[in-house]
Parts: sequence; C-alpha cells; structure tokens
Amino acid sequence: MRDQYRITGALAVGLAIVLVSAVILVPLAWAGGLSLKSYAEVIKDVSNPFPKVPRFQNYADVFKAIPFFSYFLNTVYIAAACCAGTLLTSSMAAYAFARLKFPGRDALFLVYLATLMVPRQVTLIPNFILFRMTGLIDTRLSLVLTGVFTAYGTFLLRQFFLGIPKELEEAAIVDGYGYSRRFASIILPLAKPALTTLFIITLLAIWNEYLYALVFINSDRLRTLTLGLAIMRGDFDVQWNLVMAATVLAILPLLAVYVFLQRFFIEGIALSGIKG
Amino acid sequence: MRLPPTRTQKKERFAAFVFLLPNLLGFLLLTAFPVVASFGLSFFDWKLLDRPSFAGLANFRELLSDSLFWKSTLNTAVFVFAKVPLTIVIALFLALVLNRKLIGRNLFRTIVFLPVICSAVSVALIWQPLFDQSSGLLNAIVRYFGGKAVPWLSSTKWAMASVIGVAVWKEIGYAMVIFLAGLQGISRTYYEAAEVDGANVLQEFLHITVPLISPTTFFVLVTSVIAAFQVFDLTTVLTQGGPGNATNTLVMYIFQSAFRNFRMGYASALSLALFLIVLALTLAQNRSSKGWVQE
Amino acid sequence: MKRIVLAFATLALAASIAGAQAKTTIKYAFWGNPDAIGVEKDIIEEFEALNPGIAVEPVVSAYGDYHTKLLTMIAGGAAPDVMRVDSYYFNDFMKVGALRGIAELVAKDKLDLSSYYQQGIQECTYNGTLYGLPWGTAPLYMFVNLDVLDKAGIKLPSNDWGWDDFFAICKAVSKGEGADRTYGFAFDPGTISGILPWVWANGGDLFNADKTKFTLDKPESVQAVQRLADMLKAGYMPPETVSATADINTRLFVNGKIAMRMGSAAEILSTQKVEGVRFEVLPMPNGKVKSTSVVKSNIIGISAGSKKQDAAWAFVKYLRGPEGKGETLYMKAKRMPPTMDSSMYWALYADATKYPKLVEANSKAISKTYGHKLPLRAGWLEIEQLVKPAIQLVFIGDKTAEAALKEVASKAQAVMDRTSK
Repeated sequence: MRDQYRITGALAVGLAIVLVSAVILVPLAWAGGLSLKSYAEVIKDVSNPFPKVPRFQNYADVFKAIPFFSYFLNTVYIAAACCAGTLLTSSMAAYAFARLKFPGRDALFLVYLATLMVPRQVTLIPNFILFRMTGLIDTRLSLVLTGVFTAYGTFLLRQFFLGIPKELEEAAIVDGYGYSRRFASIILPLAKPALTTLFIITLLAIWNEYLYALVFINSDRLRTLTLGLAIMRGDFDVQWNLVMAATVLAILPLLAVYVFLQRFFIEGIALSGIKG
Repeated sequence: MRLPPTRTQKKERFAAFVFLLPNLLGFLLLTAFPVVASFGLSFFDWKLLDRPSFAGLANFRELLSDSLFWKSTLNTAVFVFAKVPLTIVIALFLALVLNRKLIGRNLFRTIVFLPVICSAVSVALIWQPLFDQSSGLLNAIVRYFGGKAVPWLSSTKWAMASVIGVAVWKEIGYAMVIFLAGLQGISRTYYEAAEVDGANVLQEFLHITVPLISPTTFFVLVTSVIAAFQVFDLTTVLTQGGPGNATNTLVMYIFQSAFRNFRMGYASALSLALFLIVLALTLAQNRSSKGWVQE
Repeated sequence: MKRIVLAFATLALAASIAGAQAKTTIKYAFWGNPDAIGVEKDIIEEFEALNPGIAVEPVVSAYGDYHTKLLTMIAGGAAPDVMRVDSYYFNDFMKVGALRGIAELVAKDKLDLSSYYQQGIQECTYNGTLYGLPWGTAPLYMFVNLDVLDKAGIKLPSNDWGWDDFFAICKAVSKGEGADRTYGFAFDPGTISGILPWVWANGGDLFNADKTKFTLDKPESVQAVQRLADMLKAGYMPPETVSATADINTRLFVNGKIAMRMGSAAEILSTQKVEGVRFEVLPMPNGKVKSTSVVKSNIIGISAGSKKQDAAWAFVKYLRGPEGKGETLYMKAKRMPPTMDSSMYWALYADATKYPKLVEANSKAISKTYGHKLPLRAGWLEIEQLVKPAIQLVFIGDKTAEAALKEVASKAQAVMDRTSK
C-alpha cells in the first residue's frame, strides 16, 4: 500500500517537473527558432518559430551589426573583476557581521540592508557626479567599482555563515587559530556552496547590467554586451531574428559557466555532519 | 554600568574592523553616499539641468495627494504579494525534488535556471509575441481548448496577471538555486532518524526541512521582496506600464519623474517613500523571523 | 651647413604648425540602431577627412534610453559639444538654456534658412531665437495597404479624403473571425501624435492657441476620440493595437491584416524590408481643417557650455547645413526624407520603382498643405504620460472619452501651470 503511494507520488512529481520544464523551455525554444528565420519571415509570422530554411547567417550578421567580440570582452573583464572583488570583500565583511562582536554591528548591518531598498535609477546621478569628479567616467573601472560594493553579497554570505556551527570555530580557537586562519581555513571552505551561488548571481547581475553602462560609457571600444543588445533592438522595427540571435550568443557563455559550476554548489558538498 | 572592553573584546573589535574595512570603505562611498545624496535631493526642486533649489517638504506634500503615486504603489504591492509567494513555493518544491537522486536532475536544474540567465529585457521581448491577441501562441492554445482569445496585455484586468506570470517564470530559478545551496546544509542523519521513526514525506518536510532551511527562506524572502518592489525593466518593455497605468510600477514612476518630467527632487521623494515601505516590510519580516527562522 | 640649418628650421616650423593645429575633439551625441550608426560613422569619417584639425567622438545609444543618458551627462556637468535633441524634449531643455543660440552663426556664414521645410526651422526656435538646425523633418503618414484595398474593390482615396471615406474603407475591409480577421485601421493610441490628427480634423486641439490651457476635454476633442475608440468596439481596429507592442502595427500591416495604419518614415523602411508589400502613404483624413498630418522635426544643436564652439558649429553645419555633405549622406541611406526642399535630395531619397511611390509627392503636399506642427511646449512628456493612460482606457472601453479626458484635464492643466513658470 505504502509502496503504491510512493510510486504514484513519484510519478506525480516527475510529471510536475516535466511540465515545469516544458513551460520554461517552450518560450525559449520559440526565441531560438526566431533567431534562425529571416527578418521578412519573422515579420510575416512572429508566432511561428519554425524557419523554412534555418538561417545561420543571422549569427554572422550579429557580428557585422555590432563589434560583438569587443563588447563581449569588456563584459567579461568587468564581470570577472566584479566577481573577484565581491567575493573577497563581502566574505570578509560577512564574517565580521556573522561571527565577530563589535559595537553598532546590528545597526550597521541594517544600514547595509537599507541601501538595497533604494532603486538604482535614483542613485544614478549622484553616482555619475561622483565618478566624474574622480575622472573615471568612460572607464571599465567605473563599472567594476559600482558593481562590487553592493550590500547583496554581504547579506547573502552573512546568512550562510550564521548557519555554520560555532563549535567548529571553537575547536580551532583551542588549537590557537587566529581570526584570519579561522576565516580562511574553516569558514570559507564550508561556505563553498554559498560562495559559488554568490559568484553566479553577481556574474548574472553584472552580465545583464544596463543602466550604469549606458550612462558611464561613451567610447565604442569600452561598450558592454547589454549596450550592444539595446542598440540592436532598435525602436520601431525590432529585428527579431538578429536580436534573438544576439541574445542566444550573449547567454551561452553564462550557461556554460552555470553548467560547469553546478557541481560545486549543488553536487554533494558534504556539509553533512555539521549540524547533526 | 557598562564595563570597559576587555583585551579579548578589543582584539575582536579590531579584527572586525579589519575584516569590514575593504567592503565598508567602498560601500560608504559608492553605495551609501549616493543613497544619502538622493534622500537629500527629496527636499529640493531640481529640474536636472539647472541648480537645485530648496523646497522644504513640498515634494512630500504633493506626493500624498498624487493619485498616480498611490496607483503605482498599489500596482507594485499587488505584483510583490502575488509574485514572491508564488515564486518561493514553486522554487522550494523544485529544489526539494531536484535535491534528490533523479534521472536527468542536472538537466532539469539547468532548464529551470535558463530564464534567470536572460536579462529582463530579453525575457520581455521573448514573451511579447506569445501574448499577441490574435496570432500569439497562448491564445492559439486557448482557442484549441475552445476558449475565447484573452487580451493578455491589452486589458486592465489581464495585464498585471500576465506580467506576474512572466516574472515568476523568470525568477523561480533564482530562488531554486539558493534553496538548493541551503538544502546542502541539512544533514542526512536527520532524515535517516526520521525514517527509522516511520515519518512520511510530508512529516519530514514539515518537521525537518522547513525549520532547518528557514535561514535560507528568510534570505530568499527578504531579497525577493526588495527586488520585486523595484520591478522596472520587465514592465517597461512588456507593457510600458499600460494599459491605462494598470502595470505602472513605483520605480517606473520614479524614472518617469526624473528623466521624462525633469523632476529629480520629486523622484527622490518618491524613492524615499518606496524605501520606507520596503524598510517597514523588511523590519516586519525580521521581527516575525524570530518566530520561524532557526538560528 | 646652410642646408642643414634650413632643413632644421623647416622642420621646426612644421612642428610648430602641427603643434598649433593640435586636434580639437568634440563629443557628438545621437541615437540610432546599427544601420543608423553606420551612416553617422561614414559622415564623421568624411568630416574628419575634410577637417583634419577636428576629431569627432560619437556618444551613441538606442533611442529609448538616449535622453536618459544625455540628461545625466548634462546634469553631471559633462555635456557633449554637439547633441541631437528630440523635439519632445526641446522646450524643457531650452527652459534651462541647454543649447546655444545659433542665429549669429547662421548670419555670419550666410546660411540660407529658407531652403529648409519651415516646420523644421520653427521647431528649432525657442522664444524667437534659433537654437539648432532641423535634424530630419518628417510627417506621420497614413500607410495604406493596396492589396487589402484591391481585394475589397476600393480605390486609393485622394489626399482630400475625410472621415466618411476613412470609415467606409474600414467598414468594407473588416471581415473574418479570430486570427483570420482583417481590420480597417491600427495606430498607437498611447501617443498624442496618434490622437491629434483626428482631434484636429474635428476642430479640436490639445491646447488653446497660446498653449496655456488644456483643451482635450472640449466637446470637439472628446467627440473625435470617442468616435475613433468606437471603431475598436465595432471590430474595425485590432484589439492588440492598445497594447502598443513595439512593432505590432508593422506586423499586422505587412500581413494584410489591416488596411491602414499611421506610420513614420522609419516605418516605411521596415515595411519595405518585407518584399512584395504594395502600399502607399497619404496625408491623414481631413475635416474641418486640411492640416491634420503631424509634421515633426528633431534638433541638432550645440551645448551652451561647450568650449569648442567653432569646431562644434563646423560639424553642425556639415551635418545639416544647406551646403553640408551630411544631408547627401543621410539621403543616400534613405532613413528619412530630406530636411530641405531640394530636388537633388529627393532624387537621392525617393525610389520611384519602390512602394510607396507617392512618398515624394505626398511628403511635399503634407509640408505645403496638410501638415500640422505639434503644439510642443515644456512639460510635453509629462502631459503625454497623463493623457496616454486616459486614452488607453477609452479604447479598451473601460471609460468614455468624456469621463477619461475630464478626469485628466485638471491634472494636465496643473502640469502646464507648473512648467510654465
């Protein structure tokens, strides 16, 4: 009886997963289909994703319409620097917030949280003025700096650090470990799933960042992928086929990174035993 | 009476200072300062291209009687309170299932994450033609089952629901990934013990998973609420706030005030209002979390 | 020995001249898609070849975000030297003196302003002073799909058509069910430029003559809006036209799902990209007045704070001056009709073998007889943000035109009063 329940339950769950996947995949497959049609074909029937003859030329056309590779490298540069900076500085700050006692800790943490609640559209102009005064407008560094010091990473890591049992650190104190050794050899290794998660989320945020890149970057050689995509999109005549092709090209590298990193934060990182 | 700090306490404080310093410096200058500056601007009248002039509380007085402010606040609240719970429930379900040994598990995890990778603008563009009233895919399905074509984006009744649907579609992968990372923190020994006691799946879920994953849930909840209150790109491209302001959100209104209406001071006042709303909600979540989040 | 000295002296002289001619770099801000950016690049290259002392640094973004970027740059004290400004924004920019007056420069260089289409010159003028040259002066046409008309056995109406002719066409072509239905007409009810032609034809207007009072709630205006919205309810307009998806009307039009649509010069181009679409462009239906077609321009001007005004002016003249090469290059790219009434430019722009074959004749006719400038003023975009949702509600059928426009009138009036200061 119980087994029967289990089998029906497993089937229902399996069905649900397949259904969710289908709902997610169909629109994306649609977009992929449009990326292989000609402009006239798309305009004639945008709701039909099947091209008569797949037009791979669209992908080549993307490279003609915008200097895709140069934009791509800029995005990679900014994203890599942002991820490194965020992981390093947020994990340190998060350690202080989660594990160390100092006066004003909770108030300061609230200030961190509070800044997340102000939309970027409003802080754009003060930021622009700040960067103009430092002469950093129209540099990749400006986009790196605006990306690194958001409160999100500190918040995420603090929450995860809080979950790591204190006993582990206490044992290390007995062994005479100082703060930095405890941080580097106990906390960080245990927080690998959280660090990987933060890495991916930061990467995505920077990869898709548009507003600050729009306003801070003037030179063509410094433009990022999102700026290129926005220009391709146009306004009155959406070149659906090229826009979709460019979108596919822009997300493929992220997909590769995600697939590669999946095992780090999901596959059997044995935290078991910590809480038990 | 407060005791002066002991040597260990002093040492700990110094360590905390050193650990905080790199992030704190950048944070104060590049994140906190612009926030404070924009709050300051809410007391000014600034047409962007001239010099700001002091306006006292005028912006706030106007805001209270501004029907579009209330309308967009209400729209945003509807969006948040529908999208966040839906996303969290679906994402938690998926995370639980995809945390088990399952054929094609990695494939499913990747599929669910795909929309998160796409920018909100791309997502809006992908969905737009699917929503077409006469020739879109969704209405083709509706018609196949004998229904009448639904005005997905061109009716005040449906537009917000359509926007919420797309937002959930886009965001479940984000919440799922964080839940998956959180689930790694739960030791298998709990489940093993529960199985020895003869607990069923539901009991295991309610008595082990839910409490032990609560810090993660708290994080997902707080960040999702904050992010959902700032919805902008999706609605800007998908509906432009229409029809008839049905999907105009607070941040869209803030943006319009600053960059279309040339009223930076008023935009700052609006964002201060948004800030207070989200802050109140976050504090409430934080307070209630004492009851359901396990430390 | 003498020779060597001479050689050195020559070298030194050459060096000092080169030093004196160190390049002036000007920043030029504009919007565009990849095709349009390609045209600008060619123009800049040719200009730099002709003016070796000046380098032009493009500052470009997509139209949708262009003014956000421009505003932030100016507000942040980093205004570009030369900038293109959409006429919607022009009055707000001028209220705070963002552009430099160019009347004396025009006079000094004896530029012949009469060669321009005058609507363009007027839209570059603020308080009687010229602040830039017109960057593209073009009408909003009525596009007519000839195949749809042929199928219904209807002839292309004359330029002097009216509401009754328009209505008759809509009624004749609207047939079929669901995805197969053909409709009479589509436009974007979210824009003031979409609504005003119908209001003008009925004797109404957005504002009073001196643009101080909001008049879209007056009976003539209300009636025009309601009459048009009723077309949607009657099944003569496709319902998705309300959702204002980027290119929905283009898609409906090239597929023969609508007989008519309102469209711009840019949309002529995207329609032409689909081969075999036979279509024409007409002025909008007339009524109490003949001038019911919107003619709109943009402005290319020099930032008031620019320290490189000579170089900037040289470039502006090159771009859009009567003698400049820019106009020729723009026309070769066929992205918009000429700013100047000149057969040379029309010959470059219009292609008699391609639809719309009437583009030259009817653009000229619109400019002369059927054209109407928008009553642009400070606060325009804010007013549009108020009017747009109200009109959308009328078309959806949630409200009557009378109720919706009455409700919006006091708010719009408040914006007008505030931005008049």
